[in-house]
Amino acid sequence: MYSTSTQKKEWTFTAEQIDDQRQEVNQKFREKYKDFVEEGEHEIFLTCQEELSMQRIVEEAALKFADKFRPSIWPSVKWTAYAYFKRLFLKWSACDNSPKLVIMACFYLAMKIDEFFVTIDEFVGNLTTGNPSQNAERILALEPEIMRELDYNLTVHCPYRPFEGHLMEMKTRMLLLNFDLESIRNDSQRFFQLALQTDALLMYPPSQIALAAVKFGLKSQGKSNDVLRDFLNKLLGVEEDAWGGGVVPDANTHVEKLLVKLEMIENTVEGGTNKLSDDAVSNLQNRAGDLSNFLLILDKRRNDKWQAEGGIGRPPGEKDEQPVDSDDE
Amino acid sequence: MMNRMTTGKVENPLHLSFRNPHWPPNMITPDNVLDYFCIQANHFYDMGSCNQQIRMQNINRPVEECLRTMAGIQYILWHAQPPLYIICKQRRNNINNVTPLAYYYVINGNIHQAPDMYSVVQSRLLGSLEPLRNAFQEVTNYLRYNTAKGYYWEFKGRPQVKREKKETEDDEEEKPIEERSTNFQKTRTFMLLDQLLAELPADEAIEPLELKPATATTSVKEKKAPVFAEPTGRGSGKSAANHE
Amino acid sequence: MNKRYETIRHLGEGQFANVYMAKDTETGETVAIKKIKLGSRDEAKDGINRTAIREIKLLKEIQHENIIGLRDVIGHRTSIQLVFDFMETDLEHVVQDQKIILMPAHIKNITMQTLLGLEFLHAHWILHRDLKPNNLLMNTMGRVKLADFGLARFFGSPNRNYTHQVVTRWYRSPELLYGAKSYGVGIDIWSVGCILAELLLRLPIFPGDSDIDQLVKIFNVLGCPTTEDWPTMTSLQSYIAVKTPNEEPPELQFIFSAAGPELIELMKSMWTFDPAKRCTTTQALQMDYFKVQPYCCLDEELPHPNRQPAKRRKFEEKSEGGPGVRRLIFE
Repeated sequence: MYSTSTQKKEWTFTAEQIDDQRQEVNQKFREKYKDFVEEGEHEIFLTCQEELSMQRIVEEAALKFADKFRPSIWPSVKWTAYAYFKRLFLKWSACDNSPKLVIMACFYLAMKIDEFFVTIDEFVGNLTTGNPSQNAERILALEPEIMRELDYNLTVHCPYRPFEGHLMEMKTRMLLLNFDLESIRNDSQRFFQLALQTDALLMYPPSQIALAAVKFGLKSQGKSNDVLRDFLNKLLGVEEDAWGGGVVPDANTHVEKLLVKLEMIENTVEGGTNKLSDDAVSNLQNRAGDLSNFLLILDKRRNDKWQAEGGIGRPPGEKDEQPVDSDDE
Repeated sequence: MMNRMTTGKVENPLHLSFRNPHWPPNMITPDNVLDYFCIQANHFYDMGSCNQQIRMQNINRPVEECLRTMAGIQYILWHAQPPLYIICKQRRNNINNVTPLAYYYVINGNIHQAPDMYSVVQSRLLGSLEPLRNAFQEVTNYLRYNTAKGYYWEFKGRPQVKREKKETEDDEEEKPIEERSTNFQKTRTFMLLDQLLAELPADEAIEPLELKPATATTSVKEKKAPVFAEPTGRGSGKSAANHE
Repeated sequence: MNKRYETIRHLGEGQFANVYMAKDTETGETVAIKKIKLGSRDEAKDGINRTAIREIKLLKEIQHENIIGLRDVIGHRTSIQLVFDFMETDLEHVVQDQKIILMPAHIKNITMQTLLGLEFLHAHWILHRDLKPNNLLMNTMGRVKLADFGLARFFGSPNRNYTHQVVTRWYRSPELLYGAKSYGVGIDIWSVGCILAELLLRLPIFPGDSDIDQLVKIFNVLGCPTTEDWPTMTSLQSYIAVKTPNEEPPELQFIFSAAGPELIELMKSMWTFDPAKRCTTTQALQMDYFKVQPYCCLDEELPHPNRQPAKRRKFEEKSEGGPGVRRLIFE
């Protein structure tokens, strides 16, 4: 039930909140090294926008991974994995954690969550890069960390089921449609693919995203927006119907508000997917490569400083590992 | 409370008796008489009672012990004097408080409900009133009056018709009274009444407090030599006459 | 374990987990910590145990007074620990304790609490899939909570098949025994019916020792379903016609002899063969059984395996001197 879900309570944001969060993450990462960065080197760090672009590149690539995955996965696995990925990078920097690895781990976790049964061996068999055992080890190591970072809020509500619901409702309520509703399906699926590469799933309830997909599908089939308005009127009981309740007060404005919201979702989805040019991609890849080399230098500087100060305590930069006790207590 | 046996018409439980067809009566012992009693076919048995709860739940502990911790309708063995057993139906309100609701005699496998005091007294009163009324009616037929003599009796020329009619009436009315109690029940009732009287002497309640020494002696006397007829005779006879 | 929680003692060991009683040093409350086993390498090979993941993903989404609360999760690289409300006992212990007699008001209370928790679950599109007395926990306040969500899952996804190898056999519904691949809330309702029967009889009602025997046990009590009762029955994957020895099954009233007609009616609707006609939790809660006397007792009046014996001893002492009066008349 979405209305009481952790998704609504904890993981739904406005565009501004998302921006702020990303700025903060970017800033935090810079601050980690601020004592060791010398004049003129600040440029080497990625900007917030560049970090986001890195995520988008990975997201695009992962769509292909998902389509090629065997046995073929159901769409909700994909949606769940993307939701995890986006949530994580509101807390993590793309410079700190390889987005490529993280999205794989997200996929693996999403499959478990969605009861799609694969073993880790089958899973890494689908990866084209790296060696299987190393990949497996890295993914499994990330799993508990991801879960913790998500605050164990693992249920993700996807728009696929509401979409089917809306279609069914339309078929039963709109008996006078002069076209086959199934024809919008392909375009709606395309809408979902696009939506996966935007922040839409951090911002809107799944049922509204599903409605936006219906709207998108209708538009692509050259249908007027009135079809959707009609449907919403019926759905929200604006028209007097068999229930005899008459017009629900404010329902009219409710429909209009909803239409505006759907428009916003559509804009988010369509506007959020500016495909980067190949040049931009290779440029970004260079920048990322430079950064990782630079980070090695920074780590060395930091370590040197620690040595110079007498090497007290733990070496800097190591993650605080909580003590893990043995199982046979 | 449910009573699944009643089918529309409520019968007076005092007019009913029950016999468990699956048990030979000579097999009944104080240990199993409750098992004999507690079956669905027995119209005196409430299937919603605590006893049935225990049976349904397959509790393997002494019934008495279980009942003590339960609240509700319960059946317990009150007294055993083979072949007579007395089972008490009670409502347990808590561990220390029970309200008896009814008593049942199991005698030779026949189960009867013990009548309550009200029913007994009522039945006795009715039984004695009817002949008394008839006697008065009869007697008025022989009463004569004239101014010279005043009232006098005349026993000649008794009205035959009326007499015959009365006899048939008597037969009809006498029968149910006879059936209402067996000789054993009657004797028991007398004993009960007697004992009650001994415990709670009527004089004490009636006489003013000043006469204490006198009442004390009478009550002692009564306890020593209980007379069966006295309580009924005194109670019913007097009041009946007075009311008439 | 963890700085926040101090282990008090080991409570028990399950298939996938060890359970400890612990003290939450922040709130002072007692909690139960379920530590997922990573015993063999094979189990740990695929990462965090699926059972644990199911519990986390579902319980994080729901809070209800009749559903076990997941208070915290402690995750490490190699182990995962779930922190739950501490519950003193479970219904299996209650049922098996011969010292306890369950009064109609007790049974009504337990049934109602169970149904309320289940109604909430079903309203959130979650199937428990493993309801049995063992998984209905109870605390000293008499609060009953559904627990062990290791087999639970969301339902209602179109075109998705589920395994029928769920629910402990004795509480498994006929459609599962016939290998149904798509099923719904009916399987949980059936289990509740079995649990209710077990509260009444203090013995499992259908203790089958194989899947076929399970069906036979069910049909012995309820009769064989006909295609009229359950039209889709014959199309189920492992449907077989089972012949039961006695043609005429006894009336439920005969088995549950002290139960009132409303209770029998409730059980009949929970044990309707056709899952489509079986009652839902909401319908069950609106049935006459919950509207007639005796009403539910208070939660704290429910008998408890631990505290009952002490109380009873007190009863006996008191009642020794009590009933002397009744001997007067005949002795």
